[in-house]
Amino acid sequence: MSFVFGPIKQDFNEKYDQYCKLIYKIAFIHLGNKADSEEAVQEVFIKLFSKSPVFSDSEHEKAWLIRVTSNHCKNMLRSFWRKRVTQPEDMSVYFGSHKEFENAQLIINLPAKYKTIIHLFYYEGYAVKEISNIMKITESAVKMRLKRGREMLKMELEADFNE
Amino acid sequence: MNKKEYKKTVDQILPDDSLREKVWQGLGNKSSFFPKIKFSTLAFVSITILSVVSLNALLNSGIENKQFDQVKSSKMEKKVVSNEFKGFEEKVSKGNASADANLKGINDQENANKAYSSMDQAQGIFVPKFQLPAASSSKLGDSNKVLTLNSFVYNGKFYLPKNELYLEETMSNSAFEAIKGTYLGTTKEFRNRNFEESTDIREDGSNVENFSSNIQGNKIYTVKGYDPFYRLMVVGEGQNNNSYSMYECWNGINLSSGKDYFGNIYLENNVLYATWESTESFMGRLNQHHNLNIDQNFESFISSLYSTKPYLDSNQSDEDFKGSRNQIIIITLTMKNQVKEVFIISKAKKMIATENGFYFKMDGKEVERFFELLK
Repeated sequence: MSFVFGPIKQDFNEKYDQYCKLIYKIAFIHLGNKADSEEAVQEVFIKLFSKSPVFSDSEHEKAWLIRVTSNHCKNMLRSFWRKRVTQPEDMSVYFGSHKEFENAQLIINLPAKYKTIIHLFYYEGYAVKEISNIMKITESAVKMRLKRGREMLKMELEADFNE
Repeated sequence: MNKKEYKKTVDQILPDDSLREKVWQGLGNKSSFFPKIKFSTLAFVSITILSVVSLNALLNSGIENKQFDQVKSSKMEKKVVSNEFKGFEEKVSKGNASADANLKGINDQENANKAYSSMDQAQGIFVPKFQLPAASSSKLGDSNKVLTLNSFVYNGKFYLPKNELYLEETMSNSAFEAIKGTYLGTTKEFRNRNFEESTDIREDGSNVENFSSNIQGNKIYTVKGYDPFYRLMVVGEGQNNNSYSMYECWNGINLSSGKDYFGNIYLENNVLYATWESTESFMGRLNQHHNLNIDQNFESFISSLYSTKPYLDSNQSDEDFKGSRNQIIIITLTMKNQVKEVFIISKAKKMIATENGFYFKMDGKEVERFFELLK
């Protein structure tokens, strides 16, 4: 009877396949280690199955998950009780080359407010207007954060035309 | 880095295969959190409604502590999903750097322990100078620690965000202009951003140029009314010109009493208005603030903070987060200059924690009196 009070495994598997990587990647670039990222994934799925609104479509659901993940990670960072020592995880094992490992460090080092914006633009391929809707901030704020984040990552300006 | 490299890097950030089962199990463990039940058919509802009613009392019994489940989840769930880090957590809790905000940038356990041991709690606490994580060898596997905090150097001292999220704050134009002090300089690239490049920079930052930073391109100003030794402001890039982030230097100093901290942010007779919220509201960003009267009782409470004793809270456990919802609250003080100061107060621990993670032991009677003010 446990399924009566929780998600059905099939539903869970569908959602997990659909969104786990998205949530995990956003969590990892915010939190910078596997343990906290896994915890964030778990918390976001709990929210999805317990507190989510009725979604109009899958894009609505995805946008909600992005926002919830980003906010949850910020809350984790915000927590006064969070450990002040970052777990010295050997992140190099996740990356195929030293260059990618260095890039990952740059991404993780970005201030929190730039991370999600940069990720949505450069990885998920959202346009500025879409990011503005997802994150509930103005388009000009998105552009400014993209600009600042890009400067900090020393990113080339090739994608400007898509903004 | 270009877009392709960004994608290639992030492509490699993937969850373990085992995460699916961990998350599923976690959902099962949180079964009482599921008011939104998968009742797909009316028939199913009718069959199960009796069970729901009978179990309702059981579910309700868990509601009071639900908000604390949120608070402690980061501690509790970590044990569920990441047992492989348990050993490290144990080391940290013995260390313990978590008590001290100004150790927060020290990612290196050896340094953290060294700093911890240098403190003398009988004389208050000595907050060691913020240090860069130790430079490591160029071997890939050893250079994995990251300076995760935004910071800049001014007069040989590291200034760190007043809060950990680097949230920009805004205030009215007039209030902003009233606190914006002298322009000091603009932050520039911090050569130590990657460890391999740091060998020519002393770990304590003493030979780092002013305004070296990992938040390059931001303008630094003094804050009128505050000692620049402790507090400076970074004026941000927000759409309005009145957004800023406060940066502070509370390291390399001795805190012998609450006066050394609260006195230097000028709390006494300086609060314009005050609110409090529950941990549930705070962690969930529900913004359920309740007003506190600024009266003689409140000022008495503020004055009492000056005689609190700083201490190292090295014995935190999940037990700290249990109890009724009013045992731990968050207060937000808006000062007369519009600057906000946020604190946590624990009734059970007779403790007030600052936004940047210092702990001060309060007098038991003062704590009781303060919680009376909330009623």
